Amino acid sequence: MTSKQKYRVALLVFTVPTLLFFSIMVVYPILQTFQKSFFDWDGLTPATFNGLDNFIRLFQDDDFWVSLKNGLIFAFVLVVYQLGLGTVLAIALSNKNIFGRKFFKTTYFIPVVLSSVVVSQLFIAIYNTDGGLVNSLFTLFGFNYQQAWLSGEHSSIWAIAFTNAWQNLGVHLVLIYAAIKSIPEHLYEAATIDGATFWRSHWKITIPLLGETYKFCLIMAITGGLNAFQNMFVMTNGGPGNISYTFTFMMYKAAFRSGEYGYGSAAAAFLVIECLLFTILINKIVAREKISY
Amino acid sequence: MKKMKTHAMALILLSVMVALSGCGSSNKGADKEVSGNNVEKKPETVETIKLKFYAQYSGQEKAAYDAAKEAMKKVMPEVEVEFEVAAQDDEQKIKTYAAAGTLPDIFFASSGLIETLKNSDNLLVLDDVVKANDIESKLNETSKAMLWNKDGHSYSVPNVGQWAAVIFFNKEIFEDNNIKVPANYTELLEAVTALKAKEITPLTLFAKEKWTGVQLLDMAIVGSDPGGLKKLDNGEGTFSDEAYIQGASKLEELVKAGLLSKNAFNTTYDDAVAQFTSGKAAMLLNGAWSMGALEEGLGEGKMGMLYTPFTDADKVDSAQWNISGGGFNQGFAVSKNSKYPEVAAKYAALISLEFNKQRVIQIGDPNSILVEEVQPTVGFTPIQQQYAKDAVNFKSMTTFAWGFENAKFKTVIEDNSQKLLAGQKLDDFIQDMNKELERVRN
Repeated sequence: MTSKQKYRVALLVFTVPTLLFFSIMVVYPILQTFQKSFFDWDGLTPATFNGLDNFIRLFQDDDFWVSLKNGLIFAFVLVVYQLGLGTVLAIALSNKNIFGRKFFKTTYFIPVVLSSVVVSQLFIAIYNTDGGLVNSLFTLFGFNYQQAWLSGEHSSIWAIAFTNAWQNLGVHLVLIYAAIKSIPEHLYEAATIDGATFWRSHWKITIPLLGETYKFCLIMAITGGLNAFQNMFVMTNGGPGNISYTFTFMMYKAAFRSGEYGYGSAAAAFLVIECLLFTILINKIVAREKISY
Repeated sequence: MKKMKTHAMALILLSVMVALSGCGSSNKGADKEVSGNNVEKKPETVETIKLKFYAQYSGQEKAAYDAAKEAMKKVMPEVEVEFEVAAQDDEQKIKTYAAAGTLPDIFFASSGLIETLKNSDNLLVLDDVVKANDIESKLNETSKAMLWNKDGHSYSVPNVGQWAAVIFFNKEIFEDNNIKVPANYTELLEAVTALKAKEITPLTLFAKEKWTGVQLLDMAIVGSDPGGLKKLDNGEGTFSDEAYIQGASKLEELVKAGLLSKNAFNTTYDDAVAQFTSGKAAMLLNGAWSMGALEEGLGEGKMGMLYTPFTDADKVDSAQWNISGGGFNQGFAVSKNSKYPEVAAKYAALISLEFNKQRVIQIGDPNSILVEEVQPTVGFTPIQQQYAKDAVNFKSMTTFAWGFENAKFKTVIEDNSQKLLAGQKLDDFIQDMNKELERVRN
């Protein structure tokens, strides 16, 4: 056996267990979900093949369009808040002149380690119509703008998405901060010598060099938004009616509440395809060229 | 050395594969383990038969279960029961058990679950054990219906009576604000308007649990049609029928008048109880089973009950005992795959009655299913006495949402009734419901 062959064998030995584990725990269930999406199945009795019926029904279902819209809104909020604010805060924290940087870094990360249920309960209180923090602030500043944030048709999903965005800001902040710290200092020194201002040097140096990090953060934020479930389950139970549904909630409703596992699998299959498409799209568009410095 | 490394890696790979295959068969292994003792000892010769019992073994019910278990030791000393606390999860866990073929020997089954498990051939028919133990003669007239399924067989033995859905009200709030306790729909609308004007939440609904919205709608319908939503679940009628339009229309009007708090859809049971007992809300909807706990929170004699406040004034006499709530053919059921089907069936049948008896004795349940007269240790409170007196007059009952046999209908009505309560227009609601009815009935 040549050393190249030995290297390949060693490579296989190291990777096969993980691949096997991944296949059993992830790939097989996904394939099974796709297979079941072509069946009428209640989870207990034998499944009956019904071709594309589940997918045809999916596109005619009001829940589908509400879930699609909500998933996109959720992803949008996460991207804007976590990547936008995350970048601003990371740049600020990377500035050595800022006092108490360690304290702020820790503080921003605290919500990440809290349970989603705890955070959701906290925000239920904040959004409460009677005496909740948001409505109280409006009253305090003299605005007569009392809203049922979690029950309103147009406010519910935004309010829930913000809860998730707030909680997980720390993850993206840390990733972006670490990426900023890895950018060589001499690039900024050169920019300063050339007369670039603080913000201009970040705009021209930091942001472009964060491409790889942004790619990962974008995939995490968008797929996280499309997959959202926990917050709405705790905060609104998908309601009132279906106004805070996402595909995961729709899948949960079909499979576990209505006993329509075939239809639920179709919703899940669509979600997998949607997430995959976004991942491919992000990989195609963002940071196409690897920058090394 | 390198060869050794490769061998070591191969060994790791093999052990991971063995571990994974072990994971895959863990359920079967566990199953065998549970019954393993019995296999070794042969059922004919065992002294103790262990049965798994999936039930609401928590809260105040725990005392009744423990007492019933103790009493059963005298009747079937060979049986040892191990309780598993039932999850409040829309029956997902028990259905998963059924899908995996690991149903507990005995479990509580609602009408909806009975239909599902009957269709998948997971339920033991209890006809023989019911007859052999003369169960039917021990049940009072109103409870006999709960013993039999519409196909003529018995799949469960009732363990609790049929509770009415009730609107509890705080007497002091109505008296202090000089508002008449509503006896019909017109008075209810007036009361809601008056309470809202005084900044008191007219009705606190823990609508985070979607069944409460369904029950409110059902209560609004039974005044015009005693079949309520159960009739639609059975495949009869549509939402275009007069009674359903009227019911939905009344709710639309009440919602506009301010019946519910804007937070209703995020309100949990505990939140609702806190609002009701603190005097922030004048009324609360729940099953009559909660009367004891609510009265304790509000104070004895301070709480009243309304059964049909949505009924039109001219129909009150004829419809006042058309009750929303109840439930049919539900109780303790037995898995067809139980290791000891006969023993489990007999135990389930007998403990059902014993459990009900202990509910009366231990927790003062005024809604006994038994012919035998049983008195609670601490006596009945006035409201419990009132309920026991009223229950005799109940002419018809519908069901609670978990009693719907068509799971698809249950989901649809749960979501759509919430939309109506959130302010959806009546016509849109009727149209959506009729469209969904057509689908769920196919």
